[in-house]
Amino acid sequence: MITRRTLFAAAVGSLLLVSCGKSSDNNNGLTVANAWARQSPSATSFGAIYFDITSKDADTLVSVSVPASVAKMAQLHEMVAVSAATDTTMAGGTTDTTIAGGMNGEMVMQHVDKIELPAGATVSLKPGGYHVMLMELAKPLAVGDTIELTLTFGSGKTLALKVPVQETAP
Amino acid sequence: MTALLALAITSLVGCGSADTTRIVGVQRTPAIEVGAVSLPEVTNSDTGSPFNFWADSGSLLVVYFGFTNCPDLCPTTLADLRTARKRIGSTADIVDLALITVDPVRDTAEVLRSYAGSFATRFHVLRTTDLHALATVETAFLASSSVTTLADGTVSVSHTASAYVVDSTGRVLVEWPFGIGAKGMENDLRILIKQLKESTS
Repeated sequence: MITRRTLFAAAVGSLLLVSCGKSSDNNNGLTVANAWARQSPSATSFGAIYFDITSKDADTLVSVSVPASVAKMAQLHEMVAVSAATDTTMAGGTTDTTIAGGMNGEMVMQHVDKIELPAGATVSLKPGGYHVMLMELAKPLAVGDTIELTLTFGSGKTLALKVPVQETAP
Repeated sequence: MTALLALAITSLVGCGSADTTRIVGVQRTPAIEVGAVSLPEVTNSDTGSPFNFWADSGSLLVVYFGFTNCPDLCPTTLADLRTARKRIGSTADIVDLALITVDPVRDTAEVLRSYAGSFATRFHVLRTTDLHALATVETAFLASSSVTTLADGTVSVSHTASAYVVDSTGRVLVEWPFGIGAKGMENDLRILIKQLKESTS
């Protein structure tokens, strides 16, 4: 006997299927939301792109790229508290200046090789955390511009996005 | 019964809306005093008059340690401050900004002024290549920074990501940790502006 509850469950199930199927068809099981790039302040050649990403299957985001008309290079970066940062001196760097010795809320940006995407979980690239860093911008990013960003995943999938330049987060 | 009802209403108000009478930033006891330290201010006509860390009378001074090649923290905090001031409107004209570069080798005076102008109409840019002088000021704010050249030639800069609101006596009224957002800044500035107006009227 088909009860009202069963019908309801079936209806919900089919809705979920439709929604999963749709994103899967379009983006290989990858969903990106709230993508934006920050409008450039004057006098800087660096920029950042942020977005929320969900992968249906466990995957890793391994690289990012933008056309040369946007920036010379794009990399995955992460902001971390200095105490938690990889020791850059160990990596062959030389500290030019250390001022006042790491007492309070000091943060540093570091390059990351990949960002883990657990199955079905939404991972946010946001200010103060992960972001796509753009280096040597070809021109300042202006509100109204759109950036073509290509994401490459450990699984071999790729995803092309159109990212709007905005003054603040959406 | 009336008391119970009053309690219930109070609770509802408490749950339903943010408390706009309380500072959301960090307030230290005792407050940090920064009026005794100074750094050279870079202007179009002058490249070195000492700027002391106190606000003009009737004003508030927001102090931030940053650098212009900073893609994430600095523009986030400075854009949040711009948004907060915009939302408050003309009463926020009393909010001044002092931007100190922690990367004086790459941040020239011209670059700094142009950068700060993207976020505020009223600002001071402070720059010194005397690292002892910079360290003295950072220590006064309980802040720190470092500049490291990596093996591949890229420059890595670390810095305290907080912003500080200073009064006209050089006392830090509120410290905003990174991530407080435009809403938190707006809340605190509204309270501090009100308190300032009440104390001077």
